Amino acid sequence: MKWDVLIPIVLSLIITFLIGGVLHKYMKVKNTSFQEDYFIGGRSLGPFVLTFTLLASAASAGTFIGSPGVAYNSGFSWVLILLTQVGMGVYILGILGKKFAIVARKINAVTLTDFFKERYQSKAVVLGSSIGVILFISAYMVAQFVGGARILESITGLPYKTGLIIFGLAVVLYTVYGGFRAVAITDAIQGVIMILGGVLLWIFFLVKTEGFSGLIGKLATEHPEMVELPGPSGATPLMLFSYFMLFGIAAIGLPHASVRGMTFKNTESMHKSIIYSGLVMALFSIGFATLGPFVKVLYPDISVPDMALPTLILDIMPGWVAGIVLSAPLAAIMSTVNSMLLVTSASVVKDIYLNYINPTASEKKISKLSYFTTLIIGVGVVLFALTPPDYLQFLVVYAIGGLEATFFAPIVFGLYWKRATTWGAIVSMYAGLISYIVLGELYPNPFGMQTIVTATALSVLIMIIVSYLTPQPSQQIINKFWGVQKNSSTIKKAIG
Amino acid sequence: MRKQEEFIEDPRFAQCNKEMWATLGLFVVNILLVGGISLWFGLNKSADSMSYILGFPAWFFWGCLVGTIVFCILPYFMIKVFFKDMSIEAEDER
Repeated sequence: MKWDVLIPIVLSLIITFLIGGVLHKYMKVKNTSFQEDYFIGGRSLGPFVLTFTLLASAASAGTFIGSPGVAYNSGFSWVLILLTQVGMGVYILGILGKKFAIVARKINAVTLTDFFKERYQSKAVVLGSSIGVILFISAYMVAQFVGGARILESITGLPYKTGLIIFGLAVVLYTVYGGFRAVAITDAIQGVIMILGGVLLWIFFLVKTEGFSGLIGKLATEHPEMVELPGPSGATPLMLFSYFMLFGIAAIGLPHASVRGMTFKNTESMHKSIIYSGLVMALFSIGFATLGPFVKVLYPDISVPDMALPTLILDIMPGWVAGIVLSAPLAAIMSTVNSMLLVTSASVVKDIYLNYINPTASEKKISKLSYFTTLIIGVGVVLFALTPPDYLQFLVVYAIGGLEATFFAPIVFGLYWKRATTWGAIVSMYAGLISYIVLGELYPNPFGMQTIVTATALSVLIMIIVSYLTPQPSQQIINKFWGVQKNSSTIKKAIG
Repeated sequence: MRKQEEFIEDPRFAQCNKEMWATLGLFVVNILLVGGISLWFGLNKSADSMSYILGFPAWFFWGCLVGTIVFCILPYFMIKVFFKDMSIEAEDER
């Protein structure tokens, strides 16, 4: 066991939780209902916390461990592909925008499904979207925990199951206890750890090695394909375009990311967050993955690509600094899992229990149930991760793209297009999801583009066609979403 | 039969739509700036005909590093030019 690496990791975990646990009590907002507070932090986030919680929930272990590993084998073309995610936060906030925040306040939405429920008023949409969220996101959480415990095992020697139980339960209990605001605060602290880790890594790298110019010549002669385009990762123009969709704009369809579009305090927070989020995501993406190809020159024989970056880190840094830097990927996993956990439990409590089982539950009952549901789901996910079942891989492969293909059209068109109808939403959701999975299994990457592009395009097209073929949404829905609310001072002003 | 009072669209939404289109525009710029420059400089060039800047392939330096840095500055101007502060409460009370 490498205690010198393990101790700083555990310490940074404990410190983050302590700060988050104490700080979130002070930031409590008055006059919000329990669910609004627990699941979306009372819509009170400032720019700094918003930026990090948005990006950290979307950037998972992939950015810090997976991508440098792929770049270790495929070279710079993969880093280019990864950079398509830099604008993710800008697009989620900018396109959902103030309109999403205003509408969410008008209809009191706490989840994406709340929005669908009011906009499309259909059980098929509500059930479909909540089951989709619960199924895909739970599977994805299991995969994240598996990844986290494996990293922990390989870098510190801590046995897989021990690491998983300690690490997993810590994240789950903290999320249960603190709810959204506590999660958002730890996301911010961990985001800073990730940036700091990246900076330390570059400093040590440039001091301890011959630097980029000294290494590139050898890379270009020994592995010429790694500096070329399209290169082994196949970055052809069309493929690259599809990655811009997949990692950039279609991320609007990820419920755990888009729900953050309801949480900002005011437009100033949102504006600043748009500016910060490009910068922060660029640091995350460039900071770690760019080193991948250079690791190939220094350590040509790493058999598990995921170990490329950890190998470099453990080799060029003293143990305790390595521990700090390596807590970045674990932090990324934690911040992805905790936000997903809350979205899933909100989906059970809000979308299923309050909609269909007991619409008149008291505030106290809702709060008990929310803590309890979050705990059950969290513990369940940890248990699943102990011995991940085989079919899980199937869900994980389709999780991100599946969520994007399902939700992109209903959100964006529901928000900006008055004519979008219930049937349009139902058919486009299921068409997006089913075509994504079927194409992925039978005929991946049609037209030389990622499957996600075809599936999303199909879903958008169907949304438009079916909406025009069905009667337009009732005036009541239009009024609720687009109109000025009754008796408001604005009407008087506007009229007269 | 006109039970409902006349429909008045929330006056803030025109601005919201404008901001959505501006963001979409930025997405196109993002693709051209990072993807376009990288591909333009680097597509189908062999490793030995490539030039290198500061230890990176030239396409990577201009498209990915410089392109990304420029892209990170652009949202600032997008906000300045296209975005406006407004109340986001359910009812606009200005």
